[in-house]
Amino acid sequence: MSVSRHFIGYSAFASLTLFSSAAHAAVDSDGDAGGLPQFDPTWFASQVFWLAISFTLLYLVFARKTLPNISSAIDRRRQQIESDVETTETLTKEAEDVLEAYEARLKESQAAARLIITEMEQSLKKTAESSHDKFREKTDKTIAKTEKAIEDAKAKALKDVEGVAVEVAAATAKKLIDTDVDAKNIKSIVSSITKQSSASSPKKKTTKKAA
Amino acid sequence: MANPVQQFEIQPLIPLHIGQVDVSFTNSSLWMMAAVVLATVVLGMASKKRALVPGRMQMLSESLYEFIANMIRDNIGSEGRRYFPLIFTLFVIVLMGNTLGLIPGSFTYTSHLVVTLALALLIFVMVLIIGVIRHGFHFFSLFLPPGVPTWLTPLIVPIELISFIIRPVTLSVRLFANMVAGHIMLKVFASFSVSMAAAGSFWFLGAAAPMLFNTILIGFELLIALLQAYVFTVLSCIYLKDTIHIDH
Repeated sequence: MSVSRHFIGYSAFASLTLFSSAAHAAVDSDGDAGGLPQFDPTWFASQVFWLAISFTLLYLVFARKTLPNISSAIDRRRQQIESDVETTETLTKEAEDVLEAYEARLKESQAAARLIITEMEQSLKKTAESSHDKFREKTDKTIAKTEKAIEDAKAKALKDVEGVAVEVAAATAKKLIDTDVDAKNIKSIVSSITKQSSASSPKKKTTKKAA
Repeated sequence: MANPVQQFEIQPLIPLHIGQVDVSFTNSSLWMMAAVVLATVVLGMASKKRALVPGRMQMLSESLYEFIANMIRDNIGSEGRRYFPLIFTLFVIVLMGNTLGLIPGSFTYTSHLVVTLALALLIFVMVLIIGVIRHGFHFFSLFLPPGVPTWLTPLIVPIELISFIIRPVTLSVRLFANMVAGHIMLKVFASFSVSMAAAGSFWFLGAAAPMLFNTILIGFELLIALLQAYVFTVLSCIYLKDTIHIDH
């Protein structure tokens, strides 16, 4: 590469100097052309000579210094950009991996949480049901006991009422008609009355319970 | 009216002789040296820092570099890289000659046929020498395109030969003629302005018209200067392509 580049440079210089001497030869034979100063051969040799020098100088400076400098700057920038892009790609990939792992983890935890929640719900339901049942049993028992106690108390009360009614009736009869009415008769009358009144009341009680 | 071709005259500044040959340092040489110094200093400074984020100057030098690199890649191919410094120098020296010549009072060395012809012949001789070295006798098959019937050969070969030989002439005359015509036109319109301004009170107002026209023209000339440097370099690339690969 370098050898051929030098060859190009030297051949450029050589052909220019060659042409310079050829132009000089033309001066001798031609003489004055007139018209445009460009066709006056007096300065042909000088022009080509200085062009050759300028061209060679510029070529050497460019080939040795300026162009390698520029190309190295461009290369350096391209490498920098490439490495930056590469870094970005790896970082992006890392971030994606992390995100993926995070999402997987999130899904796992959500599933675990759901499981725990359903388990909890079921156990709570069970506990609630059992305690509800127990409570109902207990209340039912208490209600039954209380009803029985009420019934007993009612029966007792009714009996007492019957006794009182008999006594009251006997006392009343004695005062009104001044005779001792047989207690047995009074009792049978009172009980027949109370039976009549209590026949309608239990029906009312059952309808209330159903409601 | 001043002679519009006076601007092309060469004045020797430092007389210099090598043997019998007069190689005096002239105003032409001065502007060539100015081009060399300016290009070296500007591009040298622009490429010295080699910053990762380029400044304006570095951007300029890198754009120029990429511009020439693309031109070579498009016209010659990847093997044309070896000609990169040559093409780059050629472009810069022509561009400098064209644009520096637009400075009033300067000298346009690319308006001299001998200069453009020397540059064109440099390319021509290089193509010939390197082509023959690389391809040997096969290089001359350039003059006989493939698929030409045998009976046409005596007609085609001279045509191809002439079109090959005429290359340096067309290349150099194109640049030379463009530069000369543009500069003469500028000078003619400028001298219109000057003579109108000198002609009296009424004509003084009219002097603005050619001046305005010249203002437009100089912008146009700047375009021509850039374009012709580009054309010269592109054609050189196309000619140099023959040294790399011959299509047939």
